[in-house]
Amino acid sequence: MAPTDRPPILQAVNVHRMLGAADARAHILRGVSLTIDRGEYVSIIGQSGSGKSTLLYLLGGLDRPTQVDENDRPFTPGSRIFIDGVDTTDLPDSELAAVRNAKVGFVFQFHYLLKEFTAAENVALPMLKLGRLSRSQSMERAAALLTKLGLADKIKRRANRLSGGEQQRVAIARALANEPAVLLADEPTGNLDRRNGEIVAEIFQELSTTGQSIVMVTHDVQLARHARRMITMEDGLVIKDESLAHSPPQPAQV
Amino acid sequence: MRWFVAVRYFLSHKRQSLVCIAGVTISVTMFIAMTAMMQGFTDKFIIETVESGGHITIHDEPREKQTAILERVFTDPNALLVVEGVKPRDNVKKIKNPEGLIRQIRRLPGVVDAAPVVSGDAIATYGTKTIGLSIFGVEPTRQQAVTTIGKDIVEGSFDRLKTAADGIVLGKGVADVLGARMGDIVSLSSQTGGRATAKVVGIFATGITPVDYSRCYMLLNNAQTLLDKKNIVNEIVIRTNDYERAREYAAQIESVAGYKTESWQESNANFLKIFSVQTIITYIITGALLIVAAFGVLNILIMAVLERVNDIAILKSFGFSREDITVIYMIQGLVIGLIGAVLGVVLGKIAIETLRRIPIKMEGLVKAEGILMSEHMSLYVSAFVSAMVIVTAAAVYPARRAATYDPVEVIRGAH
Repeated sequence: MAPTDRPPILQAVNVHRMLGAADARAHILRGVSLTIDRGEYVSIIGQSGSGKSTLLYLLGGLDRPTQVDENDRPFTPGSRIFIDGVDTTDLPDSELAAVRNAKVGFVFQFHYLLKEFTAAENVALPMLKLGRLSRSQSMERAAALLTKLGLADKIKRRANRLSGGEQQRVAIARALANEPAVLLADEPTGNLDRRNGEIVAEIFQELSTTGQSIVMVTHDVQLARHARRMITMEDGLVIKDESLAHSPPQPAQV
Repeated sequence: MRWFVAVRYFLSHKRQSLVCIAGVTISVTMFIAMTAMMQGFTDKFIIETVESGGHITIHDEPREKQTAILERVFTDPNALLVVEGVKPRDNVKKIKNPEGLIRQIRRLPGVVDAAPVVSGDAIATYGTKTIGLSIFGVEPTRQQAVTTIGKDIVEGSFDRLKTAADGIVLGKGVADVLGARMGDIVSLSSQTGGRATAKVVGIFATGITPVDYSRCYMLLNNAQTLLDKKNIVNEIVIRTNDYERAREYAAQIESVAGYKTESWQESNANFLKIFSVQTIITYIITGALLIVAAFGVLNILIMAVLERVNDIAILKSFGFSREDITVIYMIQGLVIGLIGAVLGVVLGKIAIETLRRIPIKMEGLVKAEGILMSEHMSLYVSAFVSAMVIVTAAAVYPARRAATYDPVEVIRGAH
């Protein structure tokens, strides 16, 4: 592989993942290789159990690929994940955490805000961890992000006093806190009503137009079609990888 | 950033945290109050014993075993040595040339002064009352230079021994048992048949019951006559510049004097042993309290971890490391420990001051008008440090457990 000045944002090479102990081992991912370039908006669809969420966690460095099969034979080529050009295979936990902090923004189905903290504090936490901005600068940036996502009046509200849709928008703001190389979303609308789901879809759309790389896992084909590339998974393998050249469908009529 | 998260978490558990803090506070307070009390009585005993009895006493017992002269000449252990017709000889026990020895001792490092004493047992009778006594024949001025007995006088004065030809200074307990008061004449008779009468010229109270109920002081000459030990000195009482080092000085003096030399620690070994057992029991009780408090901390932190599994997962997802999570939970434990220990130290101080003011008459091994409290900086420091150590230890398990949660498992579990 020839070195390039700007490596792909994410690269998976023959990624395997097995879960569970000895007897009950399940081969969730059976050798997935894919490359996601800068600025792409990719959706991954598939039935539950197809391994799409597992793949997302691996791509974001939240989990590590399995290196050997049930007979302890290493996979060839070895399972590798590159995040923004960094080979994460042998990174120690603390450095992998640092990579997540600086380069990845996660949004989950359940919003997972820290309920003792205000919306702005939730957004500021990854910045405080990164340590590039001071406390007050972080809070300013958090407020700006929340304002951009339409939550200007909720900045100082405690997370547990926000509605589900608002919480998910705070979670998106938090994922964007450190200007991540890629935003990884796992069923971001799965726990929202239709209206809020659309808001989230619109936000992603807008982020994508500003050049934000996004990978979104969903089983909602309608939502997946907002992306410009759609990967379909089944039984731990990529079975279809199509480019959605057409302009995304209009948001469904209410 | 770690503190920011830890403190917010801590505050969200205010009620449980307060209970936990109270646990630590109570155990630290108890630790301080109980230890101070035990130490108070121990110190009182030690100081009174040491200061009224002397730091070191030389006894008229030779250190080395007497060997027959023949064995000194023929040292071969296999030689058969027989001496016939040996008659028992009355070996008068005494310290030879006491004044010479005293001069020698006074030149030793650490020695402040030394005084000759003749001691022996006698029976005092006053009217129909009788009591066994330890007679101390002393030279009043020199005795007061080596002990604080002069300051323990509650009636009369120690110096009156010098002016009254047949004076005696009784312990408070002795005087009470006999019913003798100042100016009364008591009859004394010794083991060896000596008899005397003496006028009570002083009564002392050291506060140490065994001393006050047995000891009395007379002039050296009078005591020598009474005890049938003419011109004999059988003890030398020594004052040093630091009674804590009496053991070490005693060994030094013994090597010079050649007589058995006892430090106060050796003379009071039985009592000191009781005190050390008491101290151990105190530490066990207060230690158990601290451990219970630590379990409280363990409990609240485990709860705080279980409640926040999702938080831990999300913190990790956006880049918090295991170490960050560990530290966040350790801080919560330490804050509880710190607040609890500080409050405990303050309350401990208050408890000491309060208990000290309670007027209770006590008469055990030590006689006192109230609860004796001994406070040292080291007491507060050790209470604080042991609380912090135990609480920190209790926080380790929950903190490590929090750090090991796999965020993927948590997030998957929520689906």
